[in-house]
Amino acid sequence: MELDRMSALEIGERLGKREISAEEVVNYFWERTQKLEPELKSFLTTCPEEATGVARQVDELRRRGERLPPLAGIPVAVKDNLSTRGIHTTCGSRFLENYIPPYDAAVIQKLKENYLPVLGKTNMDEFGMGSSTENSAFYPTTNPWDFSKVPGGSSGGSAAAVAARQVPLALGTDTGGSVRQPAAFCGVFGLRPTYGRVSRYGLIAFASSLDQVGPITGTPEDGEALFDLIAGYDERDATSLDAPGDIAEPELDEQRVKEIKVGVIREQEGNGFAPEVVESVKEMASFWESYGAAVEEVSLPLTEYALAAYYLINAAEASSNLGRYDGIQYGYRTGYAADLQELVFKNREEGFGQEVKRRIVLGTYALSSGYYDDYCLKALKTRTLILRDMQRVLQTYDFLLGPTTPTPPFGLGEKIEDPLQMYLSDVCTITDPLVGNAAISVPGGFTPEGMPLGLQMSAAPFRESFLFKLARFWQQRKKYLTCASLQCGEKG
Amino acid sequence: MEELYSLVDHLSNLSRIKLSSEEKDLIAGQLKDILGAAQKVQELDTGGVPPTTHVFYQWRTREDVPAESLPVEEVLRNVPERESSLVRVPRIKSLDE
Amino acid sequence: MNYRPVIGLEIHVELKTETKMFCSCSAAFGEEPNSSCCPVCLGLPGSLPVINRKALELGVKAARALNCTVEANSRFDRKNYFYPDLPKAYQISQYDIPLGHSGYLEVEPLTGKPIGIQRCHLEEEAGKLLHHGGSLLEAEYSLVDYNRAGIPLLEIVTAPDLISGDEAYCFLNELRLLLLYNRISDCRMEEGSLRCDANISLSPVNSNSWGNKVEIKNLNSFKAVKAALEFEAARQEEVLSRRGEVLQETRHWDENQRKTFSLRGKEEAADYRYFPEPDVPPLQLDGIWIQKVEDSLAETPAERRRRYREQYGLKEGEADLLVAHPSLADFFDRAAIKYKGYRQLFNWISGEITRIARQKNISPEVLDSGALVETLQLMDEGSINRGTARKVLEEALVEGKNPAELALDKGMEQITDTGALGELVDEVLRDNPRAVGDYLEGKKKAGNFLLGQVMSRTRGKADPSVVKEILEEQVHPRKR
Repeated sequence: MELDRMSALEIGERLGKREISAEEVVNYFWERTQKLEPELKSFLTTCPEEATGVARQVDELRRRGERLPPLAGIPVAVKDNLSTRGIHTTCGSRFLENYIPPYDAAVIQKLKENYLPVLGKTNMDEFGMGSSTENSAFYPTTNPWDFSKVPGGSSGGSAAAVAARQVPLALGTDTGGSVRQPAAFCGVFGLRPTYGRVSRYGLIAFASSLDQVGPITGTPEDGEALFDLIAGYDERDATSLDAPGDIAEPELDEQRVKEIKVGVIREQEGNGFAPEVVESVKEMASFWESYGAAVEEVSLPLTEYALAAYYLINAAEASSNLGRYDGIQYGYRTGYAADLQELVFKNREEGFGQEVKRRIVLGTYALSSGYYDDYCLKALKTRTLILRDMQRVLQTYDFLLGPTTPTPPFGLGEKIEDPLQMYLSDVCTITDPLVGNAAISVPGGFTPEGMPLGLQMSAAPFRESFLFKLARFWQQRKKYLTCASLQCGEKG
Repeated sequence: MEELYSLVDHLSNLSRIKLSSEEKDLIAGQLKDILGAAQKVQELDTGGVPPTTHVFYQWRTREDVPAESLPVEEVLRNVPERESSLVRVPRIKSLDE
Repeated sequence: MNYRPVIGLEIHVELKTETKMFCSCSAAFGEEPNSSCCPVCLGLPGSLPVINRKALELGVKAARALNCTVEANSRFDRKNYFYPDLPKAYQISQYDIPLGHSGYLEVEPLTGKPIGIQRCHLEEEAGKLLHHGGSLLEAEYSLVDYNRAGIPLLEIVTAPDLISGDEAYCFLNELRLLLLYNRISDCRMEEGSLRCDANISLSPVNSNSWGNKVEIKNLNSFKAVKAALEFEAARQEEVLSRRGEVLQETRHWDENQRKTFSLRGKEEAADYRYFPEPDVPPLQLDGIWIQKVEDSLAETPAERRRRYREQYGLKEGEADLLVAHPSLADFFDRAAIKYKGYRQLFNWISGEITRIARQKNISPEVLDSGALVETLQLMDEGSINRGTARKVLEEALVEGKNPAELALDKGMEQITDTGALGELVDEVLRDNPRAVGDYLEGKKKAGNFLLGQVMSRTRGKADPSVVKEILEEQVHPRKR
């Protein structure tokens, strides 16, 4: 059986009918992972023994006739900033190279409760800081559609692993686009949930007011199933939310599409936006129009300010969140230090990469006395204006449409020397985190060179289900290839 | 640039990260660009606008009921240097907090 | 003195909760090192804080007890600094919107002068550092115990309204009692659950200008606060009198040398980079809830003293003594419901109850006030004498027995039957003719001897005053 051509839910169905065993499924994907890993390097740690253990448990329970959740037995890859008890969790950092958490993140617990075997921990930009996975302290991950290109980031490992079907499902985390941008670059589906819908407990903080865990999958149905599994209030996360009542949206049919109002973001074209990207947005706009939806251009005039505000807030929070890495209780230890002061300075110098240091310095600046009001506070006020703007726009439109990224996947090494250029590549994905929206990146076709393009739909908080229904409606009709397996298979 | 360089020096001290002089040069240069871009927020009139620290939230507290702590061995599992069940740190030398 | 000291205090108290401020680890004192820790209080990557409702309640209670305005929309902030006892490199504290502010505390000995409370706010404790080989500066290395990390802490900052070490001492005592009566904190300085730093500057008399402020740390008792402030006031005056300049600095109190000394450290001012804690949503305290907390406030120490004087007729010193010992005062209140001889009650509580509690190492909190009431009633009825009452009380309290049964079971009940006593006295008089002779000659000693003989034959159960009467009656007829 070619499991890599099937969605997770399809595999789940066969597991349910016992046409195949969970152990076979895990073996299949583990072999595939091993075969593709030398080129892709999507993983930092693999744990096939643990995964096989879970698979055997699933098979045993099924033999006894127990009913299991729909994704039971389907292997999943998780980003390496999600704490896994007893399994290395490095956050892509030299600093945490040998750190083994004594506890599981809330989402990992949910995966375990639903019997999903975790096949491994995926590569990422150090502490989530980056948009290409080149800031991983260990090695960059490559794009499965073209090994000379980046897979995006920071959840580049998770997106690449799904696009290459090393696993059918993965979890990433999104601070300013870290799920959606790599999903776009790798031609798969990636959801950033409403801030608070998925517990952050055990997610190693980058920017606390922006971080969210989200699913990366080959189909929107898989995405929704995985999202439903990880979402929900958690008493250990004070920012987690109780969702209001029944929020699952009905299936979208051609009748209902006619009632939808789509806002196409005006600011996400022009300077800095590649023509094929702009073209793909137009194509989606006319797609919805052709099904009778009302499509209008909408302006988010604060987009430019949003990027500045985003980077200030994110750096400020990060500088504080990363203070704990002093090497006293866990983490990197330098060779010799005369006293504590020197020890901490050297641990941090040697344990952190360039981008992390840059953000810490920037964030420390934004928070330091004399600058706080002009930078951090100003950014938080700007956030208020952006929020008001968004609330106004979403009163009129059911969702906003734009590209996920201003350009198609760029080459490895292309932007790594220029942090500002790298920051600018996040311009389409930073607004939704600032205002707490849900947003999804869906495949939007390919460049003439065969690189995937991603389109983004964002909606008001709690409308994840609606976004998945939109994605499904689109993908059912467009049938974009979401698996780079053939290319990989040939080259690998 | 001189000013930026000493600023980076100050920030490296505040954030306890030793930076080599090359790194300081590099970061000072990049910081200039980044701060230039971040300056963008200064253009906005935010008079009377409150800051948004939490977009939306539900007010929650926890009951004062003890739960099990980690076993001591788990607490110490990642500790690089220890003495019995305590975490050891080199001499502190200064009193500042 | 040409200068007037201007003194403010900064007090930290650990709140009396079962669990820590932001996690469910036990907040108990004295556990095995690092055994009350979890990812949250260890600051492990990915862990998140959740507010302890009880800590919040105690914070509001303290704020209202100190007549502060409670900010329903207060919030938590991060105070960023590096220190090995601070696992996250920031302390979750409160910065620009503290839980309570603009309050005051009336301190009875400082009549007519309420002491301003600038603010009180909640925060979390740091871990505990043990310095190996002496003090911090001499230590070769240090050891960290994270058990204390995350215990809820209330910081109280007074206005600079105090003018002497003595006033500071009175204020601290009154504050401590207020917190104890409200069960907000144990206030045990020896366990570190109450700590105090003091600020002092000198202001020239007839002037409103202040001199440079000196902060004094390492004050391990209220007496040390008083002594350090007195030392510091004198030191600063001496500096100023020779036209020197008092440096704005932090000084440590050395308990042995009984003086403050300067810590020549870095002069760079700390930059804590405060910002709103993103992991903890802003508070949304309900007005009704705040009112409920306020309604649960205990009467203030001052009110209590007044009640003891006016309602129970205790003398000023007696009322002060009781109120200074909350467990005794509470014992008194429990007993006073059922026993109206208040002075008698006071005497027994300050005497016997205190003695028993100390000797048996039992807190008066858990002693049964009913036992004292019953014992005193037995004594009042004349069933037992004072000496017996003491024995009955002790046994009743320590072994939890009923005083009346104790008196009966052990044959302790006083012999008041004059007929039976008369026979005994006759016996004694017959057996001791010499003593009777001496007694008749007016030798007091002989009378006491005879009394003692009777008492010993009753094994102490007779009422000595009754025996004396009978003796008198029976000896004198012989005289005739």
